Amino acid sequence: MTRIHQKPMTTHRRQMLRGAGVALALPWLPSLRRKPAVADERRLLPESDGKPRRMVFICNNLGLHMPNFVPSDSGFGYTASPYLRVLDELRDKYTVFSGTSHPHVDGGHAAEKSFLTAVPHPGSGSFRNSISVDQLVAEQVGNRTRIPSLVLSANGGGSLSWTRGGVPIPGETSPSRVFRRLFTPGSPEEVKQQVTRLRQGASVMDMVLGEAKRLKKSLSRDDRDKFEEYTTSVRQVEREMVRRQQWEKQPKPRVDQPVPVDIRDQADTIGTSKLMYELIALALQTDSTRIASVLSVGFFAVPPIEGVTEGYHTLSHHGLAKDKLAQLAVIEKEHLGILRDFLFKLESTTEEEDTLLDRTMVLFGSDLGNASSHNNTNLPIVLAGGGFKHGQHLAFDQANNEPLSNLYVTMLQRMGLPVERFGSSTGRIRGLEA
Amino acid sequence: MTNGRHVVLRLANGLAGLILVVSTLAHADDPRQFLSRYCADCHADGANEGEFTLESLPSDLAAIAHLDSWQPVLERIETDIMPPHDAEQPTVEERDQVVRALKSRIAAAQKKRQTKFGRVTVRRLNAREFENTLSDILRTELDVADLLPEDATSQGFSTVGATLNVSSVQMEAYMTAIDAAIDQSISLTERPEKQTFRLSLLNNHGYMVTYRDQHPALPVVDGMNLYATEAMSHHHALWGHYVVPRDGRYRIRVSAYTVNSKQPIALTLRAGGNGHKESLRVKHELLEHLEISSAEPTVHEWTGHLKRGHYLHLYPSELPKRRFPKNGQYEQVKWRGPGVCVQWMEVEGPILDAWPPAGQEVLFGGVKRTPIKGIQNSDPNAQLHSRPLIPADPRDRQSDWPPGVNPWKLLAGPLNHEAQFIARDYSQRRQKIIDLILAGKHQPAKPLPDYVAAPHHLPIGSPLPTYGGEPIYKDAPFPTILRTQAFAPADAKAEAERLIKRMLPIAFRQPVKEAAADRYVALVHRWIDEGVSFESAMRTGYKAIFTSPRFLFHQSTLPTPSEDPSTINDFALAERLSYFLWNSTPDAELRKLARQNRLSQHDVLREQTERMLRDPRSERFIEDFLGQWLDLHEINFTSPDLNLYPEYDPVLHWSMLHESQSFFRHLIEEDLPARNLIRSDFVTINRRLATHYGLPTVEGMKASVVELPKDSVRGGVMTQAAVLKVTANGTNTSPVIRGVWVLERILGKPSPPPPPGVPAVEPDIRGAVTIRQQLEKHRSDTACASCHARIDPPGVALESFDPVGRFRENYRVLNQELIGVKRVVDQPRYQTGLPVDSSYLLSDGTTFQDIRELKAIYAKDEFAITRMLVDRLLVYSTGATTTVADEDEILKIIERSAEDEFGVRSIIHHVIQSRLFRIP
Repeated sequence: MTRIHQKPMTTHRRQMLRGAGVALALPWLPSLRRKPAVADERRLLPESDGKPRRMVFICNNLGLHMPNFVPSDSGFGYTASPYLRVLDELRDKYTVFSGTSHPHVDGGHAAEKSFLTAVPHPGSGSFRNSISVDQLVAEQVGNRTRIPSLVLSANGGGSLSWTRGGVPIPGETSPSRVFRRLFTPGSPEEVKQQVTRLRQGASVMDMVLGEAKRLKKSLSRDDRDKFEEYTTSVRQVEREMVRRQQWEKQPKPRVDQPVPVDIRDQADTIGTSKLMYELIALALQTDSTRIASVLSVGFFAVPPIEGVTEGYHTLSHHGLAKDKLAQLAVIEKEHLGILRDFLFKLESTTEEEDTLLDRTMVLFGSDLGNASSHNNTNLPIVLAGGGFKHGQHLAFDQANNEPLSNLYVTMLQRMGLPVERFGSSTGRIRGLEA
Repeated sequence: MTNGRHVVLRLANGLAGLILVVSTLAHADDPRQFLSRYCADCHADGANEGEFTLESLPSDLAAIAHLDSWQPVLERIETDIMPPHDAEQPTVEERDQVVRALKSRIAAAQKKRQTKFGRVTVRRLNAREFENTLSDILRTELDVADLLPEDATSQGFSTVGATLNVSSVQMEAYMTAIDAAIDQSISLTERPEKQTFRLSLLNNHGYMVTYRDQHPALPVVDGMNLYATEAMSHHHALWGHYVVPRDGRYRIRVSAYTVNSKQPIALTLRAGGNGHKESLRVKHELLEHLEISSAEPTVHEWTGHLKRGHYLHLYPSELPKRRFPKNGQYEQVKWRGPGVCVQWMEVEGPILDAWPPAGQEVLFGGVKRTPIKGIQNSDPNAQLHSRPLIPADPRDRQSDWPPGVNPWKLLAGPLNHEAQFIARDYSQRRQKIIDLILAGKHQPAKPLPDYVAAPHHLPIGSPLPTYGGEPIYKDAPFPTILRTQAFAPADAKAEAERLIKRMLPIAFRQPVKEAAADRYVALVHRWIDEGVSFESAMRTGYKAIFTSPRFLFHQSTLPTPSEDPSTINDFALAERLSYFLWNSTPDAELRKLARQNRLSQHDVLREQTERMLRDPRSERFIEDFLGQWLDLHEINFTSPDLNLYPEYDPVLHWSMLHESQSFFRHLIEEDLPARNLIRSDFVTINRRLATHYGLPTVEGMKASVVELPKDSVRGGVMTQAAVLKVTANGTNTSPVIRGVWVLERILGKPSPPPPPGVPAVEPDIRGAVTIRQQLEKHRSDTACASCHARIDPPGVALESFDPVGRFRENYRVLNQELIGVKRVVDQPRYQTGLPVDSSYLLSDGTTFQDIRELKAIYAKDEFAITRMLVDRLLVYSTGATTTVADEDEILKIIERSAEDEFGVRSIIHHVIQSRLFRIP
């Protein structure tokens, strides 16, 4: 299992190399601990072939207009829908799903909270979220890379990622800030300062942990459970700060690409999402992380796209008005366009005998099946890469949806995690083979 | 119903646990009979309708989770939802009996828990409390809440301990937020000079020539007439030369008058980002809606806190958006619509009460500072000191104009042929100068970084030279402040000990034992020994204090050994009181009373409550309590469709919130009965809402108490525009959503969530069918009827109000022909749709014609209204949802309130004086 870090990635499409902008001559960043992704004693599940894998989750929170998205026929020879024509060059690299959703996940826009957690009724007053699928993986493989996972928000707050205790992880909104953190080398003095800062942080957590322990002794059982969250968190932060000190001392991977320029115009969801995708590609190529999630937030303002004159959110409530649908299609095709570019980028980098796309599962979808009516069933879902047998339209029952968690289980197993269940899963997703 | 004996038998097998629970009850109160007869058919022995089985109910009530699973059973039986109406119905007596039986059993178990463990699960500060607490301790207006993850809520409240989670993300965010708080509190520079700038749209802050054609503004001799709101108007690009140099207090004066208007017009003064591409990522901060009510120039003044790096914006936001055609005619000259002429805006500040700032005194008071040599801060507004390169005021630029031409005639008078020629000539001359600057042949007065350095990189819409010729600094860098001083303590360790020990009891809201204090001091000393700077070592100490459980958690919910475990001590009482009424930490007076063990005395507590309600910090209570109880925190969540609801604008938005807050404030101040929450014969509205509600004229932006006509639909919170907005989605309304909301928030009798797999009722946007007609099936389908008989009536009654809170007799539908048509400004884009029918019947068969009659029905039950308010206040203030076990105490509060005619301030007093307020 340790071989995965030995070889540099190479590229088989020179023109793509420039786009990727990676200094490929550099060897892989040495991993701090050369351990397989999951503990040695794990059972290899049917989906896993033991290769290192990555996962990227993308949710466009304003949905896709389904008649433009879902192919009219299913199976391997399906006819590409208007939107999927955008991705058609990559047809054998992805599978399109229809008739999937999270059971009991409703509440319109609130459902984005449950997109990666599958916890029911996100709109209700007593909702408590749980760990998102990306963070579940990050817990297992996150310590192998400079950052455990990338949690991004293209536009505005929020993210798809939640901790075990159901706390939202704020999405990073500035591509330039992430880029600097991952790739801009610090001077020896800066590194030293940063290490001192981390040591100071760890000492604060250590101190606080002691205080907490003193208090904990006299707490009731329920209170102690609640308080345990606190002490666990403090301990985690302390450990994380120690871990980061180690990484701080490792040189950062060099990429021959300038720091991205953040887009200030909040209406430009597509532009910001594109920057985020490019950043993820770089992070995966340099093995800076293996997990990423992006919440792409459609905004009220008019996006700077030719042919669009109304606010994105307003357009998503098209009520089948022709003019609005036409404009909406322009935006949504752009979404698929930047996805295509991203997939190509991953496809153009190789790791051993595979392309990076083969080793990266990219899930693209939305928590809304029908944004116009805020419906949360029959979601638009695409899974690309990861080395599955792709190229088909898996059409599940429109009236009785397949739990989307089943797909997550398949992905988790492909990732090498010994996981049998996630969220509301009833098994692995039917029809998708490795 | 199948054979009764058979069911009992099934129960005996399947419900061993249940029987255990209820077996000790007296025979007459035995719920087994009831449950087996009325529930088991669908919920036992393999049947699990609604995914619920009686077997899943735990028999042991000791754990809180087990109680939670019994609570819904009780609620559904009590509120008549179960058994469903098409099943066999129990008699009223049977129902009462089983409810009583279950309640007493659950209450007994809960009480046992309360005496042992307290009522409230350990509760941390939520993001708001964290920010307010640090702000009050550091005596600095901090902006750190946004750095923390969003808090989870329970029943809409983010004060409930059981749902306030902690994670590693949260912990790291605290450390970041504490660093930010310290950064915002200290300032290691020389005392900044107070500066005063008078900004004028006609002088060096002219408007961009690019916009001149379409811009809804007209330069006149003494100022600039503004004819439209912010959207698309680029007014916000106008004042871009001035950036707030420092956090601090500023005085802004604006001289303005109305144009072509007998009505007052609100002139909105706000702070935010810079330039016409201003991103919403920079928080927009409303400073004030200035009321311009005279055609004579009047000076309006605002004083308050501004943030470094913010820019000022000024626009008449009540006027509709408008652009003028780009036809070279400059039609603004002929425009006779209403507007506001802004003569000038003067900014004065920072106005400093003390230097170094108060926060620095708290954190580092008495520590010697030494100057750092060779560092000097530049003035981010330096360009305002010199005359602009090309003055915009035509009087200053005679040479630009052909001799004999009066430039004012061009700008203010009608455009004749000659003037057009001159204008063209002028713009060509201007362009030449710009070209010279760009070519480097002409030096501008100041370097203009983003303009001169890379002109070819300028995206469309980038800063072009203004009317006057000077570019607007769109991407001006955030003004950095370099430190010119460093802390240089004479004896670092001694200073550290003094400062840390001074902070600890304030931060922890209770006395701190010497040994504990020494541990924090030791941490700072350790880092001083490691050789980091004094400030850095101190920051480590402060971070440990402010991430300590003693700071982050409400101590009333932490154990206080060696004291009466059933009652919180005076320090914890001070804390509970101050987080209730101030959303923050106790002040010195409360701490003193706690030290003297006097706070818990009835009269002292009452006096303090009065003092705290009078204190301006109680605004936080009103804002946050209503924000959570009535969802008013969600007021920004939806943007009404302006095609359908052109009445909506920022002034209306603000006025709505202002109404709800001043209404509740008025109920407290006058101690008016709680039934006013349902139905009042007055409203608290300002000039704008009076128009919106169709009520007689009111003056000014501040709310006044206005008596309502007898037949008015207004009065009470349900018909306040803010409530009507947060319960709608911006485009349309749903009786189901509003109905559920009223049950939960106003009547305090929440409805269970819909069964799995039921799609939402979707409004027909074409307006062919009213939502009301779609709801009819709720009455015919028995599966829906049991809940919807309760949900739909209040929702239907509120259909008389649109998403912006306007009374309507007909729905509005979009005029499809006008959608997407540009520049149809003065023509509504909607048409009148189907009529609204707001009559309906309650679940008990009582009919009502409209919201007025429904309010009259609800308002009769003062007891229920008070109960709901007491319940909400208890959840908010104690941090735990109420349970059956709390019922007798709640009853006592209500009974005492009844003696005070259910006055809202009295109710607050009785809540604070109650036993529940003292349970840990």
